[in-house]
Amino acid sequence: MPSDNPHKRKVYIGFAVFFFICFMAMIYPIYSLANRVEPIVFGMPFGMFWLVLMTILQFLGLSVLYNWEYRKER
Amino acid sequence: MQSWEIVLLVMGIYLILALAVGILAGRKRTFSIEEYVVGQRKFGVILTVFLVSGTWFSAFAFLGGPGWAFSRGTAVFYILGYLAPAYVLWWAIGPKTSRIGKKMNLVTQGDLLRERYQSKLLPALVAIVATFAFIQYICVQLKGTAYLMNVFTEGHIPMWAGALIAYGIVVSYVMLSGVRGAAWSDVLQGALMIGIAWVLGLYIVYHLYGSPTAMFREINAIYPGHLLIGEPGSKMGPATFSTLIILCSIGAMMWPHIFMKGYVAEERTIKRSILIFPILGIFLVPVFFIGFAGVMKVAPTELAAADQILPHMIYSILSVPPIVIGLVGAGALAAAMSSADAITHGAGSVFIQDIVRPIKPNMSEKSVVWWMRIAVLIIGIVAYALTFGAQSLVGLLIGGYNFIVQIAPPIYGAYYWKRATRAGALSGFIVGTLIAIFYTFAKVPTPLGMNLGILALIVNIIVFVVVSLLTKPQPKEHVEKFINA
Repeated sequence: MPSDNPHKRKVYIGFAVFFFICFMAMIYPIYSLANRVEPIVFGMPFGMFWLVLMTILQFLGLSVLYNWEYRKER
Repeated sequence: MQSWEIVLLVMGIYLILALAVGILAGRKRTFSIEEYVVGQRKFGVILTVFLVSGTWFSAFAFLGGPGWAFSRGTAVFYILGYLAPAYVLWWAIGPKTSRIGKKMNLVTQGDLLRERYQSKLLPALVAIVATFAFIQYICVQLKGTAYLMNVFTEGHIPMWAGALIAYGIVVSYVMLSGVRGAAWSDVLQGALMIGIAWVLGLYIVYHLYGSPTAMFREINAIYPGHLLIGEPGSKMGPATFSTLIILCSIGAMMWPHIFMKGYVAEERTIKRSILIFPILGIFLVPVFFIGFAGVMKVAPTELAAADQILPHMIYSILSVPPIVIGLVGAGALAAAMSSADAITHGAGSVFIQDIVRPIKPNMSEKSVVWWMRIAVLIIGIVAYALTFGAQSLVGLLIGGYNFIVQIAPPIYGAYYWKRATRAGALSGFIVGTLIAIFYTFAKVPTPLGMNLGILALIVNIIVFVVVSLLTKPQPKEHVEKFINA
């Protein structure tokens, strides 16, 4: 990822912030908000659902990043 | 036929298939180092994703995972937590590893460290530390396979024979076909274990409780705290939960056998394999369900160890036909074997490439590959002997992550920090490893009760940064080959 280009650099920093927030949401202290059983979502206790949700969000983020990185080829 | 014979037959068919796929994968190949270790860097998306995830989900997935969900409840969620961050970090280093590896002809993690820091000592030290962690890791898989074959055939296959058969097959195809053998067998094994986990996990929950929601409500009513972190009745506190997620997120891709999978495919293929991964990663959800399903049905005293929850449920709680028991056994064997193959292959390759070759630089390409095969065999024999010989030793080595995570500073430094120097990388890694060794063996509490891996990592980073800044920078054009790649 060459980052001499200031615009590219900004985009990468933006993504990094997004991933960092998702990561922080999975550990304490923020995870304490999700550390509960109810509501049960898709058959999962809320804490488990929260972790699955954060996992999916991060992979969606990566998909967006992928499309951005290869946007010129399409 | 008696029921255990049918079970054995199903597991046997799987074992023969695994052997056949693994050996056929290497047919008609000329084995250069690049072919044997990294499959000529030309793996496709499917092969890459199964190779990495098959390696990742080990015997732990079918035995330890449900065991933890059963005995420690929500504590097991940390495994779910570190999955995505580990892959986000892999996005930052995996494609770069592929590019640089191709340009400079690198095949191991040690190759990269050697090139960047111009040091033969650092990769050798990393390889030595990794080999200890590897053997421990293989032993866990071997115990898993031995135990599975034994329990699922109602004791008709003794432990020593079960491990010998399953691991003998792994060592055979890895010796012959190298990484291609591991990868193709991982496709078979991965598909089998994931398919079985979903069907079994959902079947158990719906059959015993009606639905997952009903199951979790029932558990929560009877055992409040089992589904929470840091409450009365919980088996894990917030600090441990968070540190395990941090430690494993950083460490997961630093295992040398996983890191070197960055070389097996092109940059774009690696990125695509990352995007497919969650489909396999969410595989853990039904696996945990199996363990949770045991909570209301099995008293902890019924089991010698929590890891036995899956076989126990299959035999004592559900009444399923032997053919299904055989399939579950095959799925669990697949999980253990798909990790054992990549680790054994990684250990053999790393040992020759990072320790032996720098000492004996004049070996021909052909003899290097042969020595790697011999190393695979020797590591296989040592791991097998340790599994049944010195079990206490294996116990001492548990906690591989505390050591593996020490490789992270020199790797990230190599790719992203211009001022990183040989002296800094070496001293940081050595100090971090020594601290990890000290707290593992000395049995004294760490300052502030910190996780010893994190503590050692922090000291490692500080030493790495300070010593790097105090020593002469590497030539600009050399460093830029790695930073700007």
